Order: sequence, then C-alpha cells, then structure tokens
Amino acid sequence: MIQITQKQKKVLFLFVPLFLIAGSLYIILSTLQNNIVYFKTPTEILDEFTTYPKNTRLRIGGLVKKNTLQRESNTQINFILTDFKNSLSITYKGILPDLFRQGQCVIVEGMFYETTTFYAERILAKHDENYVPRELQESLKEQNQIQYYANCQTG
Amino acid sequence: MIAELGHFSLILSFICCILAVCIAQIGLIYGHPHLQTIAPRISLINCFLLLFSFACLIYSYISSDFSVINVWQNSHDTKPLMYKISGAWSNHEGSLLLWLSIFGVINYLIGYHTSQSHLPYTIKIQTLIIQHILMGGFIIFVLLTSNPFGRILPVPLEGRGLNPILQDPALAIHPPLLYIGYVLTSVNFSIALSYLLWNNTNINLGLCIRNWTICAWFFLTLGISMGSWWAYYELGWGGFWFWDPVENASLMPWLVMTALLHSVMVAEKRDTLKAWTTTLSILGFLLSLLGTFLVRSGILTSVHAFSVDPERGIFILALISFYSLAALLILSLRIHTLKSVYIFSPLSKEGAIIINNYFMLLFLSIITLGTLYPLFAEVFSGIRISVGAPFFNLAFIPFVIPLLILMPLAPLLNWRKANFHILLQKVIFLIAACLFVFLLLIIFTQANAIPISLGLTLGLWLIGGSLIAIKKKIFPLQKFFLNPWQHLSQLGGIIAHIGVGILSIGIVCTSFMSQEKIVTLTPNSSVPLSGYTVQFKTMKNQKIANYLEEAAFFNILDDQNNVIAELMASKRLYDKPKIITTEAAFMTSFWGNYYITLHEKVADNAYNFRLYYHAFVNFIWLGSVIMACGGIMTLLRRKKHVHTNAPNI
Repeated sequence: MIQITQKQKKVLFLFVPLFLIAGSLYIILSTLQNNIVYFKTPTEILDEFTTYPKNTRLRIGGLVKKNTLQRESNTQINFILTDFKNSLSITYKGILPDLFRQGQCVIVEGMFYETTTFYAERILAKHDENYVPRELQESLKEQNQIQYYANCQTG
Repeated sequence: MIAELGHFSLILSFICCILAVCIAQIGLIYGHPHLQTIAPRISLINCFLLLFSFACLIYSYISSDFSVINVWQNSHDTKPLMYKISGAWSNHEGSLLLWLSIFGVINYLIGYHTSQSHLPYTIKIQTLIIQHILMGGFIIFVLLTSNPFGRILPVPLEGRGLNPILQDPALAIHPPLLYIGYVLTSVNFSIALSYLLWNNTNINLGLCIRNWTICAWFFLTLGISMGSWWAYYELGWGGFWFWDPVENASLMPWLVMTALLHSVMVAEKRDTLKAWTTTLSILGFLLSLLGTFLVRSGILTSVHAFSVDPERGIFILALISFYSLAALLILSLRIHTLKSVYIFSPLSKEGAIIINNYFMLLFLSIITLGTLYPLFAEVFSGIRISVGAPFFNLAFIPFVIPLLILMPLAPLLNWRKANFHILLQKVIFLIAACLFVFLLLIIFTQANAIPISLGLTLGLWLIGGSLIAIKKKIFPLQKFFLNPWQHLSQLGGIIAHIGVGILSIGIVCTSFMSQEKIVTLTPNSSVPLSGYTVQFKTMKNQKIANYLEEAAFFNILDDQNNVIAELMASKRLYDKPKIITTEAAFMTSFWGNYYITLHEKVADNAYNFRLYYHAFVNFIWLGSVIMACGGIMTLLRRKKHVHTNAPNI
C-alpha cells in the first residue's frame, strides 16, 4: 500500500479533476470542429469552390429552379438549385419532403465529392409553405434580390 | 365581454403581485406577522385570477369567438372540441398564459400546502416575495407584448385554423406537462435566493427544496419523453430525438435538475454541498426560462419556434437578463456565507454524487455549445454554420459510457466512506456475467457488433447492478417492514436507474438494429421487412372532416402468409390552414415497431414508400416513464423535522 501524505492528497484532488475537465473539453471541442456544417449559397460556393477540401459537408440554401426537376429513377432525382445569380446541379437519392416543390426554398445537405454536382443526402423543407430559411433571407437581401425573396415567400 | 374579463383579471393579478411584494416585505422588515400573511393570501387570490383569465381564453376558443385575434389565428369552427381547447396553448400568447396560470397554482401550493417542517414560515414568506417578483415581470411581459385577449375589427367569419401537426392528443398534454416542470423549477430558485438574501443558513436547504426538485424533475422527464413520442409518430421522420434547438433547450434544465436531484440528497442528509446546491437551483430556473422563452424569441431557428417578433424578443431577453444578472449577482456576493465543513472520502455516496454532477454539467456544456455556437459564429464572424445531430451523438458517446459504468455502483456505496473490497464483492458476479454476455454478443452479432454488444451489456450491467441494490434494500424483510415508506422512497432512486438502463437499451437497439428501406410499390406488390412481408394492397382517396386523405392500405403477412395486421399510411391535405401532413402506418409490438410512410407518386399507380423496422424503440419511452415513476416514488418518505430553530406559527 502506498502511503499518501495530506499534502499529496490535496494536490491529487486538485489536479485529477482539472485533468479530467481539460480532457473532456478537448474531446468536445475537437468533435465540434469535425462536425460543423457550413451554410452557403450557390454564389458563395462558386466563388470559393477551389478552397474547399474534398468531402466537406455543406448545407446549401436556394430555390428549386422551376422546370428543372428530373427523375432519374424512382428514388433518385436531379434538379437545379439557384439563388438567381448562380446555379448548382443537385442529385438526391431518397424520399423528398412533402413540401418539396419547384420554385420553393429548400436547404440541401451533402457533399461534392470530386465532381461539380452536389450529392445531397438530406433535403430540408419546412412545414410552413411561406418558409424562407433565415440564412437565405439574409443572403438574398444582401444580393438585392428582395423582389425574388418576396416571390419566394408567396410560393 | 368574456375576453375583457380575462384581460382585466390579468391586470388585477399584476397589481396583486406588486401588493404582495411590497406589503410582505414591509411585514418582514418590521417583523409584523399580519402583514406577512398577505403573501400567502395574495398567492391564493392570484391563483384564482390567473386560472380565471386562462378559463376566459379557453371559453373564447370553445365558443369560437373570432373577434379575439388569438382565437382567429389559431382556431376554426369545424375543429374537434379537444383541439379547440388545446389550441389555447398551441401558440405563443396562450402558452404564456398557461405558464402564468401554472405559476399561480404553484404559488398557492407554496402558500397553503407546505408543512412547517419542509418550508419554515419565514422562508415561505421570503420565497413567495421572490415568486411574486418573477410573476409580476412575466405578467407585464404578457400584457405589453403578447396579450392573448386582443380584439380584431371587423370580426372575421371564420378562423385560420390550427396547424394540423399540432392537432394531436400527445401534443395537447405535452406543453402543460413541460410547463409544470419549468415553473416548478422556479420554487427552487426562489428558495435558494431567499436562503442567500436573508441569511437563513441555519435551515436545512436540502430539505426545503427536495420535494420541489423531485416534482419538477418528474414533470420535465414526462414532458420531454411525451414530446419525443409525439415527434416519433406524428412528424413521420422516424426518429425519436432530433437535437433541435427547442429539444435541447428542454434538455438543459432537465440535466441541471438531474444534477440537483442528486446533490440535494447530500445537502439534506449531510448539510453540505450547500453552495453548490444553491447554484444548481438558480441555474435550473434560469435555463428553464431559456427553454420557455429564448426559443420563442425567434433567435434560434427551429421547427417549433412560434414568433419572430423582434420587439417581443428584446423585451423577453431584457427580462431574462435582468433576472439572471440579479440572481447571479446575489449568488456571487453571498455564496461565501455557505460554508460546508463535512469531509468525505472520494469513494462514498457523496463522491459518487459529485461525479454524477460532473457528468450532468458536462452534458449541459455540450448541449449549450452545440446550440449556441452557430449563433455566436454568425454574430461575431458572419459565418453561417449549423451543428447537427452528428456532433451531439459523437460528443455524448465517450462520456455516456463511463457514466453508465459508474451509475449502478453509486447506490451500493455507503455514505461518508465505502470500502472498495466490499463493493467489489457485491458486484463481482455481475461483472463476470456482463463480460460473458459481452463476448457472446460480440461473436454472434452480425452487423454493428461493437456498439450493439457494448450498449446491451451496459444496459444489462445497469439493470443488474440496480437489482442487487434493490435486493440489499428489501432483505431482510423484517427490516424493510419496520419502516416501509422510507425504504420504498429509497427504492425509487434505484428504479429510476433501471429506467435509464431500459432507455439506453432502447436507444442502442433503435440506432443500430433498425432497418430502413425506400421502395417503389404498385398495388398488390410486396416487399420483405425484418421477418414479415409488407404487402401494398390498394390506394384510396377519401374526404374526412377537415381534410382530404390519400391513403395506402397494407397487409402485414407472416412467413405462412397469414395476415397479422392491416395498416394504413396516408397523406392528409388539411383545409384550414392548407397543410400536408404525413400519417405513418404503425404496427407496435414488444420487439419493435413496423413503420410505413407514404411519399410521392412516381408513375401511374406507383408510389414511393419508406419502410422502417425500429427495434426496441418503445423501450425508450418505457424507460423514461419508469425513470419518472422511480423519481416520484422518492416522495413517499415520511416527513421529518430537522430544522434547528424554526419558529412556531
């Protein structure tokens, strides 16, 4: 049995919790860093495209351009996402949300992999038909697209 | 007329709050008992006024009085009666009024239904003063920015209707349960503040707040699990927890209350950890406020957020900041008065409870970070990011595992100082059994072997360890029946741990053993799903009450082609407001749920469906309910007097 003096005990009681807390914080923060999803508009994507590392997870917000929806197979679709300045082609495999319509605002989440087509794994369309993602509202306003924003709001 | 009465009684109740605070405070300063009794009396009057006000709102909903803006916005003539009533709290204004009415009832309970031994008279008066200060602030908030009784002219003929995803029995009771929990945390807050402000250090804080903490925790647990159940079967996404900001905001006070629930035991029994318990009490209520109001202020984007009215947001932020700053200031100025001298070994119940608190606060910081980081990143650097479920899951797992390992050991420890060898003796067989099961599982599981075996073993370990603790409590029976209530109340905590074990088994199995298929089916075609065959029979359009329904009918067949269930999955287009909802088809069994949702039409007669088999998913809600029941069992204990110098009035 190792004998611990009172002083050593105090030091132990101080440092063990500190060490544990520091360790936990490190784990949490590194997890956070690896799991941040950036929100971009198509214009931002095209401006910064080369700067992204491959396989970065992104969220892109925009409008589903009218008459661009194509069904590749029963569960796979292609469409064009636009912010009225620039457009991106999106491929999505899976089930569309009920409120997914052409001409409506959506957010797609996925990756580019090594191509110029964005592979969406998730499509978010909110329950409210008049919904415009807050992030998109701001960027549409920035780009003086307020009338489009209004159209977007009325569906 | 009725609405005006409601509005008027809300104003009256605000005046009552001011009166209660001023008169009772004067009574306290001059030591005048008659003036002090004003506080409980006004709490009774206020309870009546607020309940009456809420009843007026409900009456306006039932009678479909569309001249009230709030009713016009959220109700409709053809809605079933139950949803007319629940419509009253489905919106920002109404839910605030519900919050206030619950507050009124709880103040009344503090005033008239607390015993001298649990809440000595002077502390009661002081607590009620603080409660009325809080309440007054929120009544003013409702009156100035979110009045539910506003009128509209000309009177509309028909209301705009309630969002159909909210027309659901689970959602009719989920907000009241959660709000009761939120409001109950205010009692701890006020008792803790009165403890600090009036220097009541000779009174056992743990005993004062124990029962309130248990009740608050019970309602929060039930409210949160009810919300998750609703999201699972109504939203049609097939998940039980989405790490949505609103869900996170409700989990934050829950975690603090869980920490408090444990530390309060130490505070009560050993009269130590007082500063820490006080801090947790204050934090719990502040986070409840965050849960109730911050999400309503439109700062965080969420599927739940009702209002995006900036004026309202600023008012509520100012109010919450005021209360928080005041409370934290008092805490920091007075915390030195709470000195604890009790010494205990790290291997003891006290030590285990401190470890529990450490984990709870760690989880709290993970959730706070994930929820608020996007907000700060946007404000300070303009980068728009989101932090979703992957972060929370990955950040939680490394800490949940050690927590679950340590959890069943805590009830086996002695107070003050435990012996490691005796502890080891108690659990050595269980450890061996768990290792054996772990090996078996890892050999015989095909997919996701490590997470499944680890999760199941941990669940088993937790339940087994708790059973050992229960056995120690019940036997010998003579000792148990000598003081049955006391023992039953101690069993409550262990049963709550069993609930956690069942919950974690449910989460692990659902996450790793479920099946999901996306298929395109035409009538009379079929597809296998986890042991059964799902046969799509036919498609039908029907018009029902206030919606149009596109319904797909299914048979579930077993391996001998016997029909064991007929199911319907549908999409509804509601009339008012025009909203599409997905109604999932369900087959519930002990081992799991079969879950089918209907999606888009891809060709003539061909539809996309999503089929799920969720293994053990019901364990999640079963575990939560067991947890909550275990928690409430701890109330069974008989009262005891331990305050040193409680005055007799």
